[in-house]
Amino acid sequence: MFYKMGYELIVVLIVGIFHTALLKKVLDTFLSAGDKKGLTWRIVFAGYYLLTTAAYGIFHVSFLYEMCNLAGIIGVTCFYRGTWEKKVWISLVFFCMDTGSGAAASFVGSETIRMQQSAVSALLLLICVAVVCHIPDPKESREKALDKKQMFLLSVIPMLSVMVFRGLLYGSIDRLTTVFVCVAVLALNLCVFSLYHILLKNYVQLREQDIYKQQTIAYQNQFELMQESQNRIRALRHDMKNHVLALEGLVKSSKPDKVMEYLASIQEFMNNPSEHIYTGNEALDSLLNFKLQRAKEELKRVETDIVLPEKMNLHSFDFNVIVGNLLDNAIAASVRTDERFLKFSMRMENGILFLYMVNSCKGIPEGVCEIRRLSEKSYAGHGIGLTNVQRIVEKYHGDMEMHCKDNCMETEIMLYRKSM
Amino acid sequence: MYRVGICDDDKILCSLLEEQIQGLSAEFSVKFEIEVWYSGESLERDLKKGTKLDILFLDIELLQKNGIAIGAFIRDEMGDADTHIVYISSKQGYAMDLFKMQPLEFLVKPISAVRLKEVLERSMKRKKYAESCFEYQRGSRIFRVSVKEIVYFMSMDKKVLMIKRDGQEEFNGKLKNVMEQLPTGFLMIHQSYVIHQEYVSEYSYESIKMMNGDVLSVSKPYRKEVRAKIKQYLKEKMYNVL
Repeated sequence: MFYKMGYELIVVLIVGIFHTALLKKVLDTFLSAGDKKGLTWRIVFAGYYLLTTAAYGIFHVSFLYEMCNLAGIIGVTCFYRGTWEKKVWISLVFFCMDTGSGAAASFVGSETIRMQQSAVSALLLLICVAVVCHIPDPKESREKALDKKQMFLLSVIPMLSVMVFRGLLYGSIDRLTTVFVCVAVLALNLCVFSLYHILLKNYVQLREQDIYKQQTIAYQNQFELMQESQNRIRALRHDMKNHVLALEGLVKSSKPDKVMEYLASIQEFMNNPSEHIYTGNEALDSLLNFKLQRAKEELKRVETDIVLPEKMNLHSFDFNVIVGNLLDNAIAASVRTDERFLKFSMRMENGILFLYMVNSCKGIPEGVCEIRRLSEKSYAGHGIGLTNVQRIVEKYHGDMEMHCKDNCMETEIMLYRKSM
Repeated sequence: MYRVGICDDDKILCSLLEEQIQGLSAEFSVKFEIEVWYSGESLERDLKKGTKLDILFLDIELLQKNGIAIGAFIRDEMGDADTHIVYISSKQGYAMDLFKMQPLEFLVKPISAVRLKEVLERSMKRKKYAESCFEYQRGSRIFRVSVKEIVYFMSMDKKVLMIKRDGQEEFNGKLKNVMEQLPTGFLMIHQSYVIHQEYVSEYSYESIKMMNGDVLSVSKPYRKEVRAKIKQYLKEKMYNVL
């Protein structure tokens, strides 16, 4: 008797560890861990382990244990970063797999393997987790979230599955059918999972398409700018003879002031008013000229300060996402204020690219801004928020900070050029 | 007294700039000693003869020897990293080579009074900082060294190795105590490295390359803090804000 109890206790303890490790694996795959320290995570998962093991010890496989388990899972997800819909969904998926494998194991196992039941269920869970974690590309699955409606529909499936498992437990269906239903429902869940992955892929593609579209418009704009400059030069060349004659006349009549005035007017003629920025990096120039043109049309005061080396290989797609989104957000926020002010600065020093932007804003509390919150309120309108900018910055080990002071939003981004 | 050099083939711009700088003298309560050159060659000749400058306004598009060549002459041939170079140009595009000269700033012609004032202020602030000294003890003697000579510190057992622009020194001590004595431009990137940010040639997340070619690694637990400090430092350096 004691031997049996001791043995069971050891199995429960070991399976508990295994169970917690699997939860960690799933959550790590689908949610971003943020920048919490290792110790925090150890405490969080130890807490979950103790809670579920204690609940199992007291209630065994029962409704109460399952509620504790679900609460524990949701509790752990709270420490991760991501929207709450996604957290609920992933918790439900794990919970469904857990309940499903538990139910399947309890039906398969006859009295003889009663003790190993938890081990068998853990093994089943391992298989499910392995499949679930290998379907998607881990990097992508952590990055994006679908919208609320889609997330809700996705969450309904594991939720209903859990109900089916409970129904099977209380119903009087023969064992073989029950096991079959359990496995079928689990497989169904896995199918939905791969559908989720396909949905995500489509979403990513749509997003990239959107950015390409923006870029094409920007290139077109730059092309028009260049054409305009060309036209001006051609016109000047055409009139050169006349200008030279006019200047000659002015010099002969020794009117230096008039000469200077005439030269200044030629120079002014050569300036292309819609070319705001020239850095020598075509992709960046076209994007900046396009966005700043819009800014100058919509805002009262636009200042720029850009010092970058020519041909610095900034063709990075991600880089365009950062600059484009930042300016879109800043312009959108600034338009709603009375000052309508924007300052955009970009500099490179010692291998570090520094972006500094100030724009007038209103309705945002003073102090350091949480980017996730702002992003939800962003007015950019095409679904690519500041969160994505932040993610890209993090990808390159850079740093992003936004703070609001006297109704002015200050954005600072630093990136290491080497990693871009 | 602050020694200012202007080198540009546009004589009107030179005299205008000279006037502008002289006009700021009262505001900064500093006497500016301004010298003007109209060609890169004449400037080079005088520098060879021993003319020393605190700040040099240098045109990028000089006729024969251009701004890049003069910059390279000052930094590489003369081995002078102290003179602040401010590049002036009539266009906004800058060649990559210009950035290697560690210029203090780029200004676009016509030079705005606000930018000029800001650049001079930054230059003087940095010069003042470079005058501070670091003290260390070897045996019973106390040595002093100007911080602008120090490239980085490295700890080895109970000793600290100080790598200077020319050569190195060794003394007993702990890096943490050394760090406490140093002004803001120094940064601890590893439990055995303290670097002088003035002498960094390129930063990356995992390592930092110094101007003397040494590459030092940033240890994992320090990386985030180092990144924040680099950001702060560069922000101050580039925008003169804190």
